[in-house]
Amino acid sequence: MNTTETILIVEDDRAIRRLVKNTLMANGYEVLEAETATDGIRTEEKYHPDLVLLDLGLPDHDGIDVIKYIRKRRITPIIVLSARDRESDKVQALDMGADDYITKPFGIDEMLARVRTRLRTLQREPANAITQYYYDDLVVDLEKHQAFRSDEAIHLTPTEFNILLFFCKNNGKVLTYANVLDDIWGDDPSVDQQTLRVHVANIRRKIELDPAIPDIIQTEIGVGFRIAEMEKK
Amino acid sequence: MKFSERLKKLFPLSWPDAAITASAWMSATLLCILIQDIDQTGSITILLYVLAVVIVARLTNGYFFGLITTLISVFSINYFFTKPYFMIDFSKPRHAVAFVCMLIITLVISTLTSRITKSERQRYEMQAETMKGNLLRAISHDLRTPLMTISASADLLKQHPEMDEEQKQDILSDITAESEWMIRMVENLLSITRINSQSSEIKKTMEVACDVISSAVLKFRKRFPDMEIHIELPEDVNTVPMDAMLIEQVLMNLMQNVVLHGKTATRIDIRLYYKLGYAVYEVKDNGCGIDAKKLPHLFIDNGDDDSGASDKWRGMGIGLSVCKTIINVHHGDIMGTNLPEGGAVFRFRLPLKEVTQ
Repeated sequence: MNTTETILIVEDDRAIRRLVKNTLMANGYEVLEAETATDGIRTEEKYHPDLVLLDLGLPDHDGIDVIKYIRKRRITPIIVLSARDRESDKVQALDMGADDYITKPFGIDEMLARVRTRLRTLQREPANAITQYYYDDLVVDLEKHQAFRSDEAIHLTPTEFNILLFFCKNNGKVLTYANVLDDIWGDDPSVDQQTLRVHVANIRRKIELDPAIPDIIQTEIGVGFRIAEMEKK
Repeated sequence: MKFSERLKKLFPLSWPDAAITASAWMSATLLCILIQDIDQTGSITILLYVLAVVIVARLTNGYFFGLITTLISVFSINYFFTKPYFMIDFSKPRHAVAFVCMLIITLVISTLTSRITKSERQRYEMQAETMKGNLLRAISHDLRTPLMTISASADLLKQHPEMDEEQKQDILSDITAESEWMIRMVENLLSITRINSQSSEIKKTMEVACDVISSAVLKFRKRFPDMEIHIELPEDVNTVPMDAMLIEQVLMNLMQNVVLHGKTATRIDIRLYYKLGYAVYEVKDNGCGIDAKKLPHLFIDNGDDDSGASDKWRGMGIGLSVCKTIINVHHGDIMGTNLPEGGAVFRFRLPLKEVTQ
């Protein structure tokens, strides 16, 4: 690592801000702070941080507005900090382009892990030259249009493969149901969330070692799916 | 708008009720045809139809179906079973008397029925109200203790920086443990507010039945990595209408109870199966089981009961009464018992189809 990564934290609660700041600094990150949405946008504009940690309940504007603003201009990863009882906000934030979310109260380790994942997947994005995705001995081959486990082909229907492919492209992220429905079926109204869920349940049975406790496609209750980080080639 | 609402309330249309009406009328008619030879006077015919009217008025909602049954019954008696047969003839006054009598029976029974359902609902609401009150009392009581530990420990650390490393570590792990306890309590509290804010009706979506298990187990493993967990799922993928966040909370509570109260428990078995239109979730452990004295009132919170909530039992009653509240609003049920081979098992079931009230 030649340059230190800069992380902007937008959070109005002083105690949480200080905790996050100290943790990140202790782990070698450069930290910028903002207390309000306006302040956050201004700081983001000025310093172009590598990642933004964003609280949704800010005093002046909704955190969602900050996401909208940043997304119009840059792909800076955004991790949302949210309270548990504001589920719809979380989904909205992810739909708007946030990459991940952490529910308060969160553990320090968890937060650091999420930050690391986001920064890693960002660095190794070599445009569209990827031909294969790996997870353990699971291989998703884009050219052959097939998935393999220990070199053995897994039978997936075309739709299932397309969903899996979309998941691979977004590995390390949290996807809402709307994200997936949009990408796979466009605005076909005949396909609903339930259909998608059944498709994903079937994919899990085929690709996960233990479908009961999935590794690759985890369910985020009330939100969508969390896709594990994958290797690329 | 208001008028049509009132109309709907008086005449609520529903397919199950229509089915009851149709089958009651058909059974009465069939029976009358069968006994026609024995029943020369025709008095049993009328009795049978009155019975049909009573049954429909008692089993259906509102007045609509009772009145319909009265009407078709009077016409059926007139048409099929009184001379001249197979003709509608209302010329004789006794037909009018029979009609009025049946009408009065219907009205009386329908009124009684709606009154019973109303008082049942009121009783349920009152029950929910007391449950909420008890819960809040118990939870705030249970929050105070860990809060005290945390603030006192922090003070202690601030005032005595000269303490040795081991002592500090002890105090710090107390703080962590107590805050984790508080997080769990607050999660339960939030679940309860979720239910009450929508006047005991919750927002249900169709969820894949096994997803909620995976998600709960993943979270649980983060907190208690040492517990061995086995999951058994059925072959087919089924969806269940639920508030997944709440059902996850139920599973979390059941698993956490194993850790906190199962003492010797080393393994949890979670099983999902489908039975009689229900998805059944089972959480089984190999721990010390449940105290026989606690078994009869497991799901009643022990925050202020006469036996005095001992500290080792703190939270279990609250956790379980939260579970019961959650399962109740899903129109399911929950039970817990000891296993003959040791350990305890909790089962709850949720209807696979949406239950309409």
